[in-house]
Amino acid sequence: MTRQDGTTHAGIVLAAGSGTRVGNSRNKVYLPLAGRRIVTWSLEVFRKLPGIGRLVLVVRDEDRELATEVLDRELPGVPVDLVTGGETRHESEYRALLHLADEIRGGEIDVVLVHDAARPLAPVKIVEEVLGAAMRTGSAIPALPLEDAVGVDEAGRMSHAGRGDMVRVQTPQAFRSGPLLAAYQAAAADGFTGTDTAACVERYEGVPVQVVSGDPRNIKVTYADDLFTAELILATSGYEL
Amino acid sequence: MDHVHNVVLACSHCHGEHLHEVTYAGRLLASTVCSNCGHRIAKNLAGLRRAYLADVEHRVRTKPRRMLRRVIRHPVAFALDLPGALLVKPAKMEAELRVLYGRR
Repeated sequence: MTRQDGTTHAGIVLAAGSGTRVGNSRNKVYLPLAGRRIVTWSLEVFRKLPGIGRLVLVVRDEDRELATEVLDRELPGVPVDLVTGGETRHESEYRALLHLADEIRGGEIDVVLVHDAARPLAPVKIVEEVLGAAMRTGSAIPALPLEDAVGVDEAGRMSHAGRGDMVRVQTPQAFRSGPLLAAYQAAAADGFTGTDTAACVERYEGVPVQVVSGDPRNIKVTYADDLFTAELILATSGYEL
Repeated sequence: MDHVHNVVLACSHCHGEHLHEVTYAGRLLASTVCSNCGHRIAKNLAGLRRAYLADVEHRVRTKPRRMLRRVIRHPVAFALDLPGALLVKPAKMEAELRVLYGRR
């Protein structure tokens, strides 16, 4: 699906590093949530925006078969490329970008959105906002203010120094594709492994990162309790976020 | 979909990442149990049964459409899988009822 100027945006969903595995346990992003897998909800938010014409799901090699089966059953007819992820989030992102590299270099992909598969409840509005901001400024991330946080000094006492305007970062995060690919290639040449996409782009390409309003519903499934919260949020929103 | 899944999640009780048993009644989440500390989070059974009935009604209503979609996409696989699916259905329903009545 291309935009009028012949370009499209790409959505990358990271499911390779979501949680640890023990014995025959499963990656949490393949858990059912209100009738669909968590990863399906995470992809679905990109599918709702016609400007996002390329979808990439980054998976662990051992999850490939399961991912294919889930996509076939839950997102029939939706083209999603599967890419095997790396040991780290950074490496997984780089592999997804290399998968899109020819289209990025050819100017076919304008903005790349990077999303955690473990965040199944990202509202469409957030995607629209980060996408719009990235088109204007080069890169954008959604975040929520840390309203109830306090600083602690070295002696363990409460401190207001240094806290500034800290925020909690969410995904999806959006970046102009050219600088994003260039940043990851420069990082690879340097042997640098970042923990955060935005930090890598800022470090190597000097692109300032625009922060837009996140959404408290956009939770990351981390604790067992989060599954119940996620199901409740979906049910109370009529399964349309 | 299976009704019991084993995944690693963080536990809000013992504060570590541990294997959890996640149980569903149909499409609805029923409970989670941490394998490390035994901390169990479960829905109230009466509420779960009410929600389950509404969900079953929806599943039954949408079943023909879902089956048709599968027949169109994968006619051979559908024909091959159908007998097996029919055979295991009673056991699946029984497992769902056991969850709904707190017997697992």
